[in-house]
Amino acid sequence: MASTDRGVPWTASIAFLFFLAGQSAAQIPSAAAGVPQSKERAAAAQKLKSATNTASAQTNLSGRNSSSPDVNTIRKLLETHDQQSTFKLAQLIGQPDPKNATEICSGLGERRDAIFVPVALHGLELQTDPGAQESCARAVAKLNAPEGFDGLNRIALSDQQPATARLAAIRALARATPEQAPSLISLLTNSDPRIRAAAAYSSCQLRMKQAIPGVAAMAADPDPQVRQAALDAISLWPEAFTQQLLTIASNPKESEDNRILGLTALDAFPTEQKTAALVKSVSTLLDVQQPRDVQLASVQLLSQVPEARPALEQFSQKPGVLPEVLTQIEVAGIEPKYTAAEPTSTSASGSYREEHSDNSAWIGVIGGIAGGFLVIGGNLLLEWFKQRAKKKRDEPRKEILRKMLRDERFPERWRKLRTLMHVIGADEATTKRLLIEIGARGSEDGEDLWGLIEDHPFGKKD
Amino acid sequence: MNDKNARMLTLRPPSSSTLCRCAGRPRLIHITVSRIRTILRVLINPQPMRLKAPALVIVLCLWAFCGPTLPSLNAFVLSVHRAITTDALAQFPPSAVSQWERDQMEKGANDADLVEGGLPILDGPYEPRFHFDNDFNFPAVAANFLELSRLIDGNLAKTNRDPWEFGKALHAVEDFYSHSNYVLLYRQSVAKNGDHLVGSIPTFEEVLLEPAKYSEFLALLRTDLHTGRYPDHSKFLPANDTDHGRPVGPGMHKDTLQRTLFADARETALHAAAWYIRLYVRDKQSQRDWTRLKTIKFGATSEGGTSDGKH
Repeated sequence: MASTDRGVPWTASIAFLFFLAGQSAAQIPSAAAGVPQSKERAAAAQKLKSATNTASAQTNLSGRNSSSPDVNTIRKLLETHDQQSTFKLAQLIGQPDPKNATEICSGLGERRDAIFVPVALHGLELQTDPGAQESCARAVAKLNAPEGFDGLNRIALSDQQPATARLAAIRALARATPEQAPSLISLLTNSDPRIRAAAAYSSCQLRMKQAIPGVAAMAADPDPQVRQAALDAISLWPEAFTQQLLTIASNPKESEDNRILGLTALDAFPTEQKTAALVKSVSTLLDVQQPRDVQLASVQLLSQVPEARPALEQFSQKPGVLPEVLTQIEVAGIEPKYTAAEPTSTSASGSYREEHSDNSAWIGVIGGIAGGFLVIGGNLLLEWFKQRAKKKRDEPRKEILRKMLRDERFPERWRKLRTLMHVIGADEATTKRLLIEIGARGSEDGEDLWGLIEDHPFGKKD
Repeated sequence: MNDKNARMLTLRPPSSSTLCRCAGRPRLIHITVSRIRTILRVLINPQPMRLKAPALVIVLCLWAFCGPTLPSLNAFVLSVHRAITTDALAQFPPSAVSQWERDQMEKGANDADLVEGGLPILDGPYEPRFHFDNDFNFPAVAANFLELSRLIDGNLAKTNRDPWEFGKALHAVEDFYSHSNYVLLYRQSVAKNGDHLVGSIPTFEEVLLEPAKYSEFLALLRTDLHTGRYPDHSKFLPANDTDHGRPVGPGMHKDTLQRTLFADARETALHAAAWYIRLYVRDKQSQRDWTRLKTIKFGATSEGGTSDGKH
């Protein structure tokens, strides 16, 4: 059902290059400069150029701005398989509006006509919006032409391109054949982990044998995000990475999440591919010392392999096997012969609530308490800093008040509150608070006078 | 058009105004980029310690709540999607589905995770409707199916068949059984009648097409059906029963092998995928059923019920 590969008609290619030349000399591919311009080709290019102008004029006559055509205009252009519409589309796709580019590329991909390949590649290189880039790259891949995949490989490899365009090109290469996507192998060792991850996904989608060492190396990367990406990529093609999956599943230092993902990927093998070596390796995980979920997943995986039955029977007789694990073994048709250990979960039904272990509950409680302490501690600390800052702010005012209350020019050592307020630039309440804090008091005769208590002790008639 | 329709199956770049995916913590989420910049400026510039310290405390608190945890894939593991799709396709002869179409459909089913799954390292777009996430009630689930039906109709109407995109739709259908409480509710519905031998679980489409046969189950679905919250309500606290959850630990997904209802979800997803592939091969009966499902809006309008499908 794949569409047949078709070459881009030379007239369209020349015309497209001519269009690019008109738009920006810097954007002309270097190869284009060497294209011999025969009279016939030059005439075709000229004809297409004038056709583009006519198309622009028509669009303008239709009452719409040529820079922002409506969806119907774009669809009409897509339905018209000629150089004129190709020109117009190439012009529109280079404009900064990502909606136009997305709309055009969505339509281009459905045309399945290789004449549109340069347009979609042009959009991928010019657009800066990741969504539009994704649409353009996808359109190139859907057009299913060798020159389109060549373009995607070129963009994927180019350090000059923005990372989002490269990632879009790498993802689109997943729609190629392995032979059409050679860039993916070298990109597995790229310095950018995102590029490496995307290359791993696409190469595993394509099941490229040359990619196996690169993806396997990523699975042992010290960066947990890279390891996670490698595991996801491996899940696309688990048969090629049995050893890596077994290593991940049986590694006690690996996160339990990843160990479970590894076992789940191994389980997806068809039964006939679950070899004796695989069964033997997974059987080593039938151990009460292993985490509960690892035990459960191992039992589930082995229960579908007849050769694993003895290992499961043997495990069911070991002391300390968890009840839920024994139940799983029982489901596989093996009668447990040993008294189970205490259950780790109080839930009896088959609901997903069973997944919750006591550990999780404790983690929740401890997490809640720790979170609470953190919030309270943070608030207290903030309050303390606030108070300290306030105290520091008040200190100069207090100093002025002390000086004023000890001023030798006023032998009675009483000062008017209004004067004090004015000098320190504070309101009445603040001034009174500061006066109290430095050990002052008001006079007892009802006048608005303040003095230091050391000068006016209580009991003395003022 | 509601918000969900407005974002219909488009690729969206991650929002720059969101600090982190701390669902359920609005106060933290609403910290704007400018405020963060201010805090950073205070920390970096030679400010007095009395100004630096509170900023440091805020940063530490944020780190504690939104600290770096490794997000995981939010779907059946890719290998499981591939296996389900392959097994479903195996039910059809080569005359109905060519080898090229099979390959494309299998890859497309994975592509929904690779391109629209918000894979952590790529920080790519995430489209919840391809994964049946965040549908918190029956109307929302029905609305998700309805939107999916538009994608499928668009796909089937194409002159050139597009099995890759159809595979993406299969991904969504498969995820529904893993990310919702559907299989659990069916078990509960059967157990209510004292029967614990469940046998094979009918697909959502089958239940809607035979409401009389599954009346009790359908009633239960209308009141209790929901899918999980993704990302989980908190990165700091463990997931709860309404969260999607990580591969290990609490949460309602059945993506991984050790989950109690993994086998049920996988088997039902397989039946559902095969049901949709019958549409792809233009099976007449399936096409009639499909029209009926769209007429009743996947259960949203039957029995007088209506829905706006809002989450």
